[in-house]
Order: sequence, then C-alpha cells, then structure tokens
Amino acid sequence: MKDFALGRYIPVESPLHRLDPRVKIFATLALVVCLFLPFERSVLHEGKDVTVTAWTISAIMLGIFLVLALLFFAIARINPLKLWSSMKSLWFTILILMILYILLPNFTVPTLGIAFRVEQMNWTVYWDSFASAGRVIGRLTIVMMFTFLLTATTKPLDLTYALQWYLTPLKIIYAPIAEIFAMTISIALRFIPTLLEDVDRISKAQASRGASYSNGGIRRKIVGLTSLIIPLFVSAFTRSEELAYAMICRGYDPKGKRTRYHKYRFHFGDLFFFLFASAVLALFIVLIVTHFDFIESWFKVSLP
Amino acid sequence: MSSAIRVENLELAYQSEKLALKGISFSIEKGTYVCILGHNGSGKSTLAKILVGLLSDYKGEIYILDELVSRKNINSLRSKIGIVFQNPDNQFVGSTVADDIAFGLENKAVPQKEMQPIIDRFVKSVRMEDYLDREPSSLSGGQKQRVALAGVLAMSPEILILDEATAMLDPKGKAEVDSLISNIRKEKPELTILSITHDLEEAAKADEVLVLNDGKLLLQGTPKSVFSYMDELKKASLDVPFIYKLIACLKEKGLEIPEDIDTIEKLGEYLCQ
Repeated sequence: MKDFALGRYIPVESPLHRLDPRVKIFATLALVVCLFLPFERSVLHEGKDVTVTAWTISAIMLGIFLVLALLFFAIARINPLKLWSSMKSLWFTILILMILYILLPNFTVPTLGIAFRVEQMNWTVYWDSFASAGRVIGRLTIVMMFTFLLTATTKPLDLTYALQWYLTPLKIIYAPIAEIFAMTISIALRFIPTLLEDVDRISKAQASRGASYSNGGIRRKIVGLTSLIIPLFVSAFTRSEELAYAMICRGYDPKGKRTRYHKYRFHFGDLFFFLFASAVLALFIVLIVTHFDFIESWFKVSLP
Repeated sequence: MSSAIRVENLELAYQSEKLALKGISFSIEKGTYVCILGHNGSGKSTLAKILVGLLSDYKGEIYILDELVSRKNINSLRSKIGIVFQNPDNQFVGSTVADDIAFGLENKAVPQKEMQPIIDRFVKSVRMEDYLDREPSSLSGGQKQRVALAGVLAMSPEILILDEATAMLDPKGKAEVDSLISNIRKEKPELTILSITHDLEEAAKADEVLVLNDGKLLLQGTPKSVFSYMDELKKASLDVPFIYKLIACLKEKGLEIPEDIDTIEKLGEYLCQ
C-alpha cells in the first residue's frame, strides 16, 4: 500500500515542477478534454449517412497523447513506472469494461469486421467492441498519467492555492469559501500518505490477530474489511481532532485576514506552456468541427 | 515578580460527572522552566488544553501574563502561547517544512516578503535547514517535532507549552528535541517553558516541578524538594529519578551526602574525594 503513488508529490527539481500551478491545472484540463473528444466521420450505410468513430485517427491520437504524456514524464524527471503499482489495481476495471463493451456494443455501424460469431445464439461480436474498450482503457490510462503528473509535480499546497485562485469569483456569493475549500483539500492531500501508513499498520496488526482480507467468501472478506475500516476511521477522527487543536493554537481563523507564503509570478515558461495547452485545445476543436477536412486537403490523403 | 501563568481553583468536568481537575492553584514565574509530572489520567493534558484555550467550560480563574483569560481576549492571548503536542504527524499542517513553519505566520498575517527570513532563521535554530522542501512523510518523528518547535517559535511566543512533545519519539529523536530545548532555554532566557511530561530525568533538570495526581496538585517545588517525597510520588504511580534514588539509598546506608548534589557527575566527584 505504501508504494501507492497516485496523488503523491514527488520532490524533484524539474521545469514541470517549477511551472505555475494554475497553468498546470489549466493544461491538464485542456489535454483531458482533448483526449475525450470523439473523432468521427460519416459513412454511407444502407443508403443513409451515419457517423462512425474514425478508429485509425483515434488510435493515432491516443498514441500521440501517450507520447506526450511520456515526454512530460521525462521533462518532470519522474519514472513512469512509478505509476505502474497504482495501475495494476485497474485490471479488474479493465476486465469489466471489456465485458460491458462486448455485451453492450455502443457503435452505430460496425466498421472493423467480425471478431467471432456464436452461431447457436446468433450473436456476433465485432472488433469495434474491442476497439471501444481499448479506447476507454487508453483514455483512462492517459488521464491517470496526466493527473498523476499534476499531483506529482505540484505541491498539494500549490495545487490548492491554484484551485483557490480559480474559485475566487465565488467570493461574490460567500466570502471565505475558496479559502476554506483550499485548506480542506490541502489537508486531505497532506494526510493521504499518513492515512496510507495507518492502513498498512492496522492491516498488519489485524492480520497478526487472524484477520484475513483475501481468503474466504465475500461475507468473510467484508467482515475482515470492517476490522480494517473501523480502526482507520477512529484513527482519522483522532488525527483530525488533534490537527484542529494544533491549527487553532497556531492562530488559524478562516474568516480572519491571512497572508500567503507563496506568491506566483507568471514566468516565460508558464506563458509558453499556457499557449501550448491552449493551442492543442484549439487545434482539437477545429479538427472535430471540420471533420479533419483540412488534413485531407493539406496532405492529399484520404483518411480511413 | 510577575507571573507567566497563574491558575486559581481550576476545576473542570468532562461530560461525565467525574472531575478531571479538582481545584488546582499554582503560579509560574516568567522565564522559568517548569515540568508538570503525572501519570495517565492525572489531568495534565487537560490542564494544557485549558491553558491554550481549547477547553473553555472550566471553573476558576486563569491569568496569563497577568491578564485574566476570558472569551474576549483568548485569541490575542493565544498568540503569546505556543504549544507543541505529542503526535508529530497530527500537528504538521503544511505539505513541506517551509510551508508548515509559514502556516503560523500566514495566520498572523505577516507580510509575504518578511516570511522567508523568519522561516530561514527558525529552521536554522532547529537545525532543519537542509530539509526546507521535504514533505512530512519523509521526515522522522524527531525531525517533525523540531519543525513543530520551529513553527511555534517563529510566532515569537512568550510561553512555550510542551505537551509530552517527546513521548512518541525514539531515543535519538527525543535526545535531539531535548538538546534543542536546552539550547532555546539558553538563547531565550525570557521564554517561559511549561513541559508536560512522563520523563523524570527531564523533570530533574527543571527549575520547578508540579506533580498532578487524580486531578489535584500533589506537590510543587524544586526538583530536589519534590523528589524527596518518595512515598507520595509512589502513591501517584510515579517514580523518582535515578540520582535521587541513589542518594536516598546512600543516605540510608549512613553516608553523608551534601544537599547541593543533584547530578550523577557531582555525586561521582564527591564520592571519589
């Protein structure tokens, strides 16, 4: 559990670490939006125009995003394998997704051909189902990579300051909401490693008393899990009470006037990265709206 | 002499009928180092919580820096008291060492430009200057407590309360924090330190010792006078530092030990004469 990397800040000196957190949040959102934009084209099917997913383009785009994400990992000087331990727990989700996409195909017209047929049940499975599932898994993986990079290269406090900055318009409605929200998130992030250590400690202690989280039926597993969750909650509440005391004693008052230790100045790199993310977003929107017409006319190719 | 903390007839009951504190009165002079001893459930941590204004439904009077504590002035008085709690993890608010020290300064609305010099000064005073950008999970308990100490000292308090600040540390971490505190005593003699502790050896070095038992003040005085009441301390489930036990044993055997001997070194020197 201790090597669970998602949401953890990795202190390294790198250009991505130095980037303004507001820009990083914007860029992550922009790239994730681009990633989820559908690439579609029209085909003639039984005399009607039908929109279908352009699989080749989708695959190329996923590849580009994967390369981009890996490039960011390289710039941030973080080993992408660090994410692997967190990704491993995803295999169950992947399996469910595969089954769901095969049982409930969501494409209008199959374009990739038949994968296999079960004659007795008159049931055909098309490659499109696998492609859809693959695309979702690819998107999820890349989203995880981007968000992992965001939290790994941004100190939780910087992240919350950035969120707070985006939330400042809310001041019109109710004054300290951004401040309280930012503090809440920053503390939640700050305590993730601490609570994971608690999970580790409690599960070892309970295992030494005979609790089992992996053996037995579902009933036993659930009972076993309560022996982990209840002490964890007790410990979390004790921690939160003591933390609240410590914060009060150090003069924290959400409604009072506070200054900030961190000040962000927009550097050239920030501007560059902001423009880059904006450009990617704009390019993708243009691509979607024009159905890649201009690529076809520029490169004189006909896309599949 | 003006007192840093004066408590009169302090009583406190938690929700249950049982009183946690049963009428405590004492006074602590400015610039002294006072230890409060007591075993679990004696009310010593409750006392600390009342002194920093975390529990307010008590009976009796508390004067901090000669000012009667009330609901109105507790916030301004609190800024003059710093407290370090027992659990190193549960008082680390910031995500890095620098952020944690800055937390108190931010609350005090210290201008941003003045923060870095203050942080640098105090992080140096707790010898954590190489760890400014480290996150709490990569620090040892002793290091976290030193950061907590720096965070509290950066607020320039007049009273420092240590609520079993070394109880959860390993021997090395404890030794580091202890040596730091004796440094602080030397560098800031005007700072009043109130240390709530189990540690008898620490209490032996204090200017004054208060012993709490079952919500009552059992003994108060210099370490030497307090530790001469061995039977009373035993009833309060407390021991006596080794040196005082040794002196008592030697006296029982008929040896004459001068009154001013209170460390092993001095005793050794005297016996070798």
